[in-house]
Amino acid sequence: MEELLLYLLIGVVALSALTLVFVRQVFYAALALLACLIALAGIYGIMQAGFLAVVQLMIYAGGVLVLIVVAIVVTNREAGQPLRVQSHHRLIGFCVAALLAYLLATAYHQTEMAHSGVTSKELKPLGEALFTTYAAPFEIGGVLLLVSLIGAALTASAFKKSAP
Amino acid sequence: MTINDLLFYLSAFLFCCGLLIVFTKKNAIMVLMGIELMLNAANLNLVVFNHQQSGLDGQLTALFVILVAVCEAAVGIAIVLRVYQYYQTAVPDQVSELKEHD
Repeated sequence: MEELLLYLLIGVVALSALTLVFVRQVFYAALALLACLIALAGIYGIMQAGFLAVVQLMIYAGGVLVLIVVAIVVTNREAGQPLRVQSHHRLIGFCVAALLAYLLATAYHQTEMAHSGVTSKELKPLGEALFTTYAAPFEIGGVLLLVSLIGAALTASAFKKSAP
Repeated sequence: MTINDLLFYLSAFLFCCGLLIVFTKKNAIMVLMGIELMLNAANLNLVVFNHQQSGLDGQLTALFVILVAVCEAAVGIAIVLRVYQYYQTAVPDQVSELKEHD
């Protein structure tokens, strides 16, 4: 049952990523990205990373997607017309992506993975690690969030163009 | 092919899709979406690695990747909005002048 669900989620992720590549309207691309992110959160949940699944749902599907949709709405020049996207350098881009896919697949094929135990599903060791081993990155991350919040608000707000 | 193999190949596929989007799409918002897709591919890899090993390092690294990705998305979209306000376009190719036009 769990395996079947995992195959289904993998299918959803792959299909929505393909949709994202070939879609013409930017808003539909945002919807495909939303489906991709939610399915990825499901995969995280099955791979015993429940906290990460919740974070993915809340921050990506709840936060970043809303930002992207707002940006699509604001940058739509003709009212009533959907925002369309054109593509260029299609052949070069496809060649580079196919080459990278080949490289990654070969590299993975030649690597032997070591299996050492299974991770615990509990939340407690994760919280403890976050406040002991990973305390410094955690604090720096908080500062980074604050700085980017202020920076984004200042950049997007309409200050006067003639100000020195 | 085990389920972990399949997930690694899915991650590689996602990364390549993100790269293709960043290369080919003209709209800056689509480029940002491609970057998000690539970051998610890396996260999926980290989660699957963490599933195979004991310990929680992979999950925590993925958590910090999400944190930095959120900051990147916020600042990136703020820049896109600012550029749109000034140039009336979100296509980077059309933003070709640095000087203020009179």
